Amino acid sequence: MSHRPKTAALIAYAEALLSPEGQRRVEAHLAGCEACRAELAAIEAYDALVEDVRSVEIPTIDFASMELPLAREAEAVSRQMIAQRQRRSARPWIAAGLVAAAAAAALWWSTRETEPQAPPRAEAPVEREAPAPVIAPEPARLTPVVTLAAGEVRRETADGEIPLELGAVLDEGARVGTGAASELHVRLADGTGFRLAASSALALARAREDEIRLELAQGSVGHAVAPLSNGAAFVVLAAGYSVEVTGTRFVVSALDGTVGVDLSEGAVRIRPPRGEPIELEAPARWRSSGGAEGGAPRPVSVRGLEAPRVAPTPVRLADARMIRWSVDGIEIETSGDVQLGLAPGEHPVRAWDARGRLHTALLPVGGAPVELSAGALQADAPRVRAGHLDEADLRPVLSRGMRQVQRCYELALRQGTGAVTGRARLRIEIGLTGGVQRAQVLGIPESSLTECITSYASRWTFPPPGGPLTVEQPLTLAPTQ
Amino acid sequence: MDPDAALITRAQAGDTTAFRQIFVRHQATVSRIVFRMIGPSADVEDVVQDVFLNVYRSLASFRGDAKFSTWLYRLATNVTRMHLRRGRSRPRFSDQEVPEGPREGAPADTPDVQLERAQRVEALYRLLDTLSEKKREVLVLHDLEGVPAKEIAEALDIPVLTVRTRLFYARKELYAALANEPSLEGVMQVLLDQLPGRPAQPAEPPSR
Repeated sequence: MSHRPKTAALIAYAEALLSPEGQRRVEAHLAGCEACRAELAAIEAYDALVEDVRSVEIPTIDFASMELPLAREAEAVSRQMIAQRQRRSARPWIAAGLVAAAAAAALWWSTRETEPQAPPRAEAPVEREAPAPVIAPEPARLTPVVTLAAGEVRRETADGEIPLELGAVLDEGARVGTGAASELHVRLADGTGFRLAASSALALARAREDEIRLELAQGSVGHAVAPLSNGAAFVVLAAGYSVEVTGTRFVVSALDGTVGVDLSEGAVRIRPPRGEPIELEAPARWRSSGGAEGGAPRPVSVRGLEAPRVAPTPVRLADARMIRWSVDGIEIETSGDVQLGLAPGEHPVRAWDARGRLHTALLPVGGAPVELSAGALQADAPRVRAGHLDEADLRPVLSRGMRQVQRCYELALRQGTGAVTGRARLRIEIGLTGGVQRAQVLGIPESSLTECITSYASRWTFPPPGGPLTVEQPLTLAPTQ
Repeated sequence: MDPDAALITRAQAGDTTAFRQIFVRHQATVSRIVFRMIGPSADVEDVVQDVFLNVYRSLASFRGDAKFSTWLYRLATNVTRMHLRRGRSRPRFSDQEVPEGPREGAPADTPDVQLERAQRVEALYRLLDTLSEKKREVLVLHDLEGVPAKEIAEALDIPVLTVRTRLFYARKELYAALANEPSLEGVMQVLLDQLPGRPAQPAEPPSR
């Protein structure tokens, strides 16, 4: 007769969950039931196998190799999320403030699959209450993001000013400002961004695919603009002047009512409040006051212009003694903290204090946010810089000196000890302050003549060359007839 | 309060660093689930990466109704299930090498003991391949991964009772399969011999 083992009872037996009487009954049954014994053996074998499996350690997994593909995906997904949200928030009937923030968020997520121009979904009661206007397609909004924040950088809100942090996203209409010795870098689109200098204020009036419009209230703002697609415009407004550009690097400043444009690359068109537009081509420095500015315009460099393939690690540089920093080829002038994103790896950091002394540190950057705090920077030994003197600075001293050399030679000829002819060189090592530290006559044997020349030369004084400088003066030794 | 809530909110706002933090924070859990589900296999890394790609893509749909970890379990099991479905027709090979020395903190097993265990583990995964997806998921999560039935119910969106039923039948199928697994014949015989109520004569080895 075929007998089906009672699995539940056998499990209970195996786990000793039965009463002593129950345990004994199952044991008695097992003696005569081969199928039940096999089943019980399988139960115990399974339990042992589970233990085996649980004891197997998970193999080492190379998570690092996943970083890049995941970072790319995160970038793509994040762009989609932001674009979706901005398209949604651009709809006037959502902005009508009918719903609490939480409800609005849920609404957005619930409808995120719908196309921007799709009609509102029927099950969203809030949307049903609102009129369904016909919305003309709007150029997509850009996602301006803070790529460097140094010192005191802030954003105006209805409740006052809030400090801006690295990675903060600025909406259209945002007003941002910088304190003294501070700067703010913002990426507007790939290859396009601005650097707001110290003590400046700027409004992000429009940040769309078709047009970027910045309104500079005061201070100075530098721009790097990649050629924009489809004839999109990039306009900076300052004190009634508008500066238009399609692909260039330039600085617009508005200081005491004077608007300035420093163009280091490309071309811009300036539209004054009245009169004809002014076309500028790089390099150029233009001022609304009409006064010309000398020198070449300084090139603008904005941090993080290209959207990174790997999300950069937030880095904070904090050392109140420093007033200027240099990291990854970017110079930042601030006495406050610097926040920027750096790719993982080792980054040499250079910083200068108020006395101009250089400090350096090697900053290892991994995945987690890093802070370089005071004390991490090592003061560099004063650097020996080669000095320099123009010909015009050297000539008067050498001319006077040559008369002394002449006297030495005449004396030697008279003494009969210096009847040497030919070419020699006088090498003079000039020190930091212009004094001669060492003089040598080369090319002829040492004698009372060379001694005479070097003793004179040692007392010469040149203008300070700013660093050690060695000059050589040829000497032609021949008795005059 | 879900400990991941703030992170998820940031990621849903498009903060890419939050995405990375999700990956860093949950990579160990996801790897464990994937490894337990598919067993020793060279595919573990691919599946783990696939899980996170799917997490990123689906993050916008996470509404916070369930805990993020529960949602992650669900997603990880789904992705792994898809992987197993694709690979079901393929023979199972293992490139797992027997470790040469003892693991840190683990008792020092001799290589032959380790090899035997590795073979038993492989045998179990071969048997798991014979289970239906639904039974396999529940059994792996509960018995191998140690996830409580209630959490499995939440992750798979099924009643707790269904979890228990699937678990029971999954085990029952496995018991039957174990008895017929050639590589476990020796183990089974040892266990049979040790059982109480053993008949006076040793049982004949089952003929196959």
